[in-house]
Amino acid sequence: MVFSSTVFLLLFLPLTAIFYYLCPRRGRNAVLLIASLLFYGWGEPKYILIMLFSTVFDYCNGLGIARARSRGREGAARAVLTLSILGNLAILCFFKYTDFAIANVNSLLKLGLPALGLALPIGISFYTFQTMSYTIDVYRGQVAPQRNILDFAAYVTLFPQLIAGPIVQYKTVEKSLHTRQESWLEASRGMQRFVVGLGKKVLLANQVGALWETVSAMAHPSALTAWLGALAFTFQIYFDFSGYSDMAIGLGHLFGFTFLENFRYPYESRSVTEFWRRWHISLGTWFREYVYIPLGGNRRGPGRQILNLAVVWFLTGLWHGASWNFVLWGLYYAALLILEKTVLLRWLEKLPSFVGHVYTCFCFVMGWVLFAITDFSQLGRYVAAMFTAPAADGAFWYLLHSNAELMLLAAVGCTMLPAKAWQHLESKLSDTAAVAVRTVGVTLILLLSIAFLVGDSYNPFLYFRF
Amino acid sequence: MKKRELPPLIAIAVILLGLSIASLVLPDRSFSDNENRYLQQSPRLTVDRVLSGRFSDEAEKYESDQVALRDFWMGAASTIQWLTNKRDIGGVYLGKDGYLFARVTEEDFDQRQYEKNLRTVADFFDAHTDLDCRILLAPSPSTVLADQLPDGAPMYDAAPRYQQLTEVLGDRVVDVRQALSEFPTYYRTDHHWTTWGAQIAYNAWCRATGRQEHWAELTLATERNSFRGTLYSKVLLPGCAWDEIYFVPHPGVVSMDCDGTVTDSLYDFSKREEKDKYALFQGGNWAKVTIDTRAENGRRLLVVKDSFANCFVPFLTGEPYREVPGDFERIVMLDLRFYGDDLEELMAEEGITDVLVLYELSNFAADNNLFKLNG
Repeated sequence: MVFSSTVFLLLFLPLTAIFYYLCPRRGRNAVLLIASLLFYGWGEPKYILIMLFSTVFDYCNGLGIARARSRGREGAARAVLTLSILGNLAILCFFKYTDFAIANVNSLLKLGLPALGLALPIGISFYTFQTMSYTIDVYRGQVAPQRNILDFAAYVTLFPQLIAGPIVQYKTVEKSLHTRQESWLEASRGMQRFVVGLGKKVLLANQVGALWETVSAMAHPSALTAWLGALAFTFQIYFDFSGYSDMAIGLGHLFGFTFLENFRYPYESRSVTEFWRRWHISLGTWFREYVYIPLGGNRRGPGRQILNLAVVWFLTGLWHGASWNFVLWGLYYAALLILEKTVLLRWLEKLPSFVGHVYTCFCFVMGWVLFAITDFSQLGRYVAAMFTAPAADGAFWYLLHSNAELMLLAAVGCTMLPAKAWQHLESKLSDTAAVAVRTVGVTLILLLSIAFLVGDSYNPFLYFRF
Repeated sequence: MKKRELPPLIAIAVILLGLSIASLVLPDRSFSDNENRYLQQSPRLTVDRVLSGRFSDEAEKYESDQVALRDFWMGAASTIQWLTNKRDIGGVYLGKDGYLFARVTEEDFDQRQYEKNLRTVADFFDAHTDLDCRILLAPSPSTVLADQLPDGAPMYDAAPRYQQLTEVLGDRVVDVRQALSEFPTYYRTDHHWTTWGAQIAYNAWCRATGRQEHWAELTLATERNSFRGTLYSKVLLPGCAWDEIYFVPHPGVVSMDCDGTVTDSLYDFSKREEKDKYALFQGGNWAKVTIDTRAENGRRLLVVKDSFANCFVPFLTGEPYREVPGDFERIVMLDLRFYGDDLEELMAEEGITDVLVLYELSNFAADNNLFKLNG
């Protein structure tokens, strides 16, 4: 199930919230668990089994590590951790990368091995990373193992962040699993955040997404059309992804959880390094904590650091989908980050800030083109069109005229301007007036989102590869 | 707790719960006139259907199709897109003067299927050199009303396709482009030509086949300004224009057999009360329609067609009341999407003397049933 659907908004969410708040405190994790399993099994019921296996597997591994440790058997603890990591990676690789590997082996060795044709279990990349973070942190002694399997299962399956992140590390919600204090204040703020996220997804991402779809289907776009399309996808992925994160964080608040922020206006960055500190923060953090630093980070000399960056970004790319263009996209960022670390950042500091903005914009827009087009020959044609096609044709002016307002709204919407303007306005208003404006605002966004959900059939789910 | 934080939460809860309860309580609709399609009904809950994912698919459609105020939401979404200058909603261009156009871009146009279909028709015609075979591909509205398209809106180029048509089928082509470009001959909210358009095409066909032209009198079928067609159903913009349907009032018809249902009229007037008023003509699309006229001239026509032929065919039956004879004593219309029987057998049985292939061009290019022509 996805958040941006009438089934979720009109049935699942109201019922879950009602049952949740009617239930006494100690039963609430169970309510969440049941709701989450329904949410997850909605599209592919059989994949609930994988999720349950993953849950029980790492629940046992967590306890196993702790038990070994308490008996002073460090080797055994390490063995259990290794088992946990291999098990999670095996599940992830089997479902996500087997067909990719088969296709590559086939084309390399000219074989005709049949593909498995498995449907990728939705959100598998997110929850395998979450459970791995749990066992690793137990091993590192950063968290105590969870003894209550119900609470642990509630964490793994927690539906707000299940299918599109953020990747919530166990240690950040450990306390909330036992002793969270829901409040109307938090629920209200959470639902407002949810509505804003819904608006970002339905009113902005889906609309600019339709423009990207039109442009990417063109055989011979003009250069400006191709750039317009690339910008449209740039906006689409931001509003889609950060909208999902807003919805997840908001729903977390509704049920008394606080998840860490996942996006902090990344398109305002002045360098690629900064961009990646502000984009999909939970993924960056995960790779830093569990891959980059264990590999030695920057502590083993510049040569090793460059290698480490390359490894991390190769994996980051591959994590986004089983296709070579994602690897290319990851290595593209590895190259940029290494370049920045060695020379570019020092230059950028000396230059006026708009140079950094323009440079970073160019980098991430080109990055999204690599990301968006999985087929290499099509990718080549598209990039060629951006730089060598005739500048503009009738279609460009049509598309610009038809989407100018939308693109402008999107451009403003991905900066801090709206938030700042709102803060400014709120500080001028009386409390009553501020709450009135706020209420009218969320009401409008919600009503508009419902209208577009019902009225506009274009509502893609971008994370089916994740 | 600060009380002032509550109103937004209350507003959100009222909207979601209110809409949820209203959707549950209000009776389900089975058909949407506005969208011209059947709506999803309450899905059956069985273990099989849950495991196959069918239940959840249908439940999602059901919840969306049966949501309270559905027509209002759809109209609101379209209106906002219109207001922000969006000129392409649901694959339909919002053109000038209230004209709507189905979007068929160069990339959408299936060139391979088009060429294949042309060759199929050529083979069929070549196999029947004893018959008078003609092909009439009606231009898409966007071809003759190009000025009404939003400026620069991407659309397939019809000119090279007509050139190919002539190259493959030569003098068997009835080209109606020139004649049609002089009149506003398409509905603004429907993808068909109007009856005026069909009449102009009919006279072009008369000239091509050496017949005498005749201009039938047309009658307005429905109350004025009362028809919104298939393109409207995709856009659902409340401010859309209204169209009018005209028809030949006294065609020379004895009987019409639509897949076994026999009537004595070419028109199903009950469709005037429904949304899809174009179905007035022959009551919609059938696999096989056999029309017997008052003419007795030994000519029997086979029409291989899409729905553009439905308002064209009445002109072939003549108007005895104005002493205009029909062109054929029997007309057999086949819609290859639905027709599955042996064609040669049918032609022999019916004693076919003339053949007309009549499609709208982009429809013809998208049709993958033409192979049925050559068994």
